[in-house]
This record gives sequence, structure tokens and C-alpha cells, in this order.
Amino acid sequence: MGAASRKGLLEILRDCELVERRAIDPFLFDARRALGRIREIHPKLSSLEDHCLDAKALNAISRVLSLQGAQLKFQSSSLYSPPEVLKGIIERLAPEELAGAFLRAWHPIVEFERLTAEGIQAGLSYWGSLKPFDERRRRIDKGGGAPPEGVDEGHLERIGIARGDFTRKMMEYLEEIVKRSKGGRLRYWDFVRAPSFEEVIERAYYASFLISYGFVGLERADGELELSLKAEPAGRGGMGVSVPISISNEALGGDLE
Amino acid sequence: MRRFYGDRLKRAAHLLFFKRGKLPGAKAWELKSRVGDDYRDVLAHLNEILDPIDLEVKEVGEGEEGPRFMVGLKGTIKPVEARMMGWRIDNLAGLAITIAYIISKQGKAPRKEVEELLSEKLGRWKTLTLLDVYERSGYITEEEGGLLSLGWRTRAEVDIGKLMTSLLGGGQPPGD
Repeated sequence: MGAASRKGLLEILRDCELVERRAIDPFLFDARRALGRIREIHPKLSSLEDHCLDAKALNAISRVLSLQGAQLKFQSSSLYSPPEVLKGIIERLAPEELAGAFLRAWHPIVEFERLTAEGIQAGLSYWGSLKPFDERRRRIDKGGGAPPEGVDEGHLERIGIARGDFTRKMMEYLEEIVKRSKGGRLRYWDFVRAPSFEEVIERAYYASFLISYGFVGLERADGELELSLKAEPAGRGGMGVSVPISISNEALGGDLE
Repeated sequence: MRRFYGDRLKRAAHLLFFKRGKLPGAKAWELKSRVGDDYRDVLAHLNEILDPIDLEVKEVGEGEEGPRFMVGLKGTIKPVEARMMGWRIDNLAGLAITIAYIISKQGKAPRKEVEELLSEKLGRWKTLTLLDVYERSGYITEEEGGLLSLGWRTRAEVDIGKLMTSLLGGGQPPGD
């Protein structure tokens, strides 16, 4: 099989995949034309690999035909609304109206959670086998010190970490990274550095959220931690691992007051 | 002639109300083994008992292991009740958008498209959190290739026809 024939089959496979991924309307795929092309290519098939590719393309076309059939059935049902029409409706309606529409159709399931003797036994055995916190701290070589405490939002505001609208603040820092990195990379410590310790902590705090939510990447290059902009925010789970970063005067180049 | 189911009625109610595994309710085979071969008759009687308090036994799905039975609200709830259950107006609006859009795409929609649609209405930050909440609760599932489809809870709890009619009618109750 020549390169042109192989390209033809690969193009059919790519188009079918787009339909299956819902990237294009199933009816934008011309199945008759694709089958005609396969018919033309068929006599030129020689190797086992060629035949496999041909069978794969045929199989993909059959799946697209099945999707076209399902779409016809769906369009004739009362649930049918073209996505573009629905988008227009959603744009026009206020959140209260959308919520109202949902509540009229919502019949929540009832479910009771309960404690069982087995559950309590499992919990007790877990806590019983857990070593004291101090011991675990020593094991990971972190020394002694006071155990961690929880803080509420008011406390975070008082110490200057949380100030008003979290999202707005985070987006401001994202814009700063975009500007300072000029669309490329920015050293983590250059971003975090600030005149006061409180501000350093605040910048590190927001940076951690920008990284966790995939707006910004964190990489190590030549021994330096670098922030890099993502073309597409990863959404959740931006980074699959936890990266503890210790903030010290040394890391900040001795700039801390 | 009316039959008396006694303990079997209680057993069926316990199986349906109390969550034991990840999903609420009980599978057909569980009911059959714990309640008896005529478990459907027992459930019909339980339904009669639940009716005055606006609850009903629902049969959901036809998977490999047969249908699953759950107890759900027969009627609907008011916004103030939804808030007491921990649902904010924005979260409900987002769920309506997500489900309706997936339906309009015939049951599968790219996550990115749903995210964009939700972001325009509710903001980017909230969108990321909400989709995770919907997925964890079982309203949507994410398949390979980033396609979102309706989850078991949507099929169990949401009257899809009514939701679409209501939305296409401009958010007004059908018939208004």
C-alpha cells in the first residue's frame, strides 16, 4: 500500500475519532465517501499491517454510522435541543431560574449513614495502632515543637493571609505571573520575594493554589524552582504530588525583615 | 386478600434506607435473598406505607446485576429546603446546566465545553470545584478522553424530561 492510501485510511480514522469524541457532528462525516475511498484502497492492500488498518477504518465507520442512527432517534425525541439553542437559553436565565427548573425535576434519594459495630472496631483498631504524633515526627526527622493547630478564616484574615475575595486575589497574582514571566518561566523565589514576611507567606500561599489548580506549573531546572504558565489550566489536580517548600531567609536571598 | 409481611417489610425498609456500601439502596439479588422471591410484592406494600410521607421506592437501572432499588422523594423540594440540605442556588444552577448540556450532546459532552459553559455563568473558580462535587456525588462521570456523561444519581433522582421542558420553556414550570 502506498503512502497516499495509508494517509487516506488514517484520515478516515482521525475523522471517526473526532465524531466519537463529540468534537464534530456525526452527520458532518460523509460515510458514503469514506466507504468509497476504502473500496479504492482495498486492492492495494498487501501486508498484514495494511489489512489491519483497513479493518480498523471500517470498524470506525460502523461506529460513526451507529452514532448517526442514535442521533436521528434522539432528535425525534422530546428531549432534543441543539446545544447552541440550549447555550442561548442558559445565557438568558438567571441562576435562580436555572435552580428553579432543576428543583422542579429533582427527587433526591434518601440515604441514612450509620455507625456499625464493625466500623467502630475498625476505627478503634486504626487509632490504637497509630504511634503518638511526637514519635512520628521524630521518625521523619522533623524534630519536636508544638503540634499543628487548625485556624479559622477570621484568624487567617487577622494575620493577613486571607483578605476578602480569594478568587480575585488569586487572579491578580496569576496576572502578575503572566506579566513578569512574559509568557515563559519565572523563578519561584523571585515571585514569592516581598518586603515583609507576611507578604512572602501570602504570595507562597496563593502560588500553591495556582499550582494545585493547574493554572501554573512548578518545575525544578538547574537546581532552581520555576513557575511556568500553562497554555490550558489543568482544572483539578494540577500537580499530582505534594511539594513542601520551606521558606527561609536564605532561600529569599537574605531579603526578609 | 391483603397479605401481612411483618418482619420482611422491616428488613426491606432497612435495606433500602441504610447505606451500606458506596451506593444507597439495595440490588435485586440482595432483596431476593434477604426478603424473599416475592420481594416486589413486599416493596409494593412498603410503597403504600411511604406514600403519605411523600416518599417512594424507585427502581433504577438495568445493569449486569439487575436493577437497584432505592427510596426517594416522590414530590419536589423548595429552594429553602435545598439550602438546608447544603445546596446553594449556584450549585443547583450549575447542576442544571451540566445535566442539560450533556443531554443536548446525546449523553456525552467534552469536559472542557461544560467547564466553559459553567464558567460563563458561575465563574472559573467555582466551576472547577463544582464539577468535582457533581462527580463525587454521582451526578456525572468522567470517561476516557475527558467526556462527561450522566451518573447513577442523575438517573435515579432527576426527571430529565421535566428538566429539559422546564429549561426550554425559559425556566418556567411546564404548562405556565
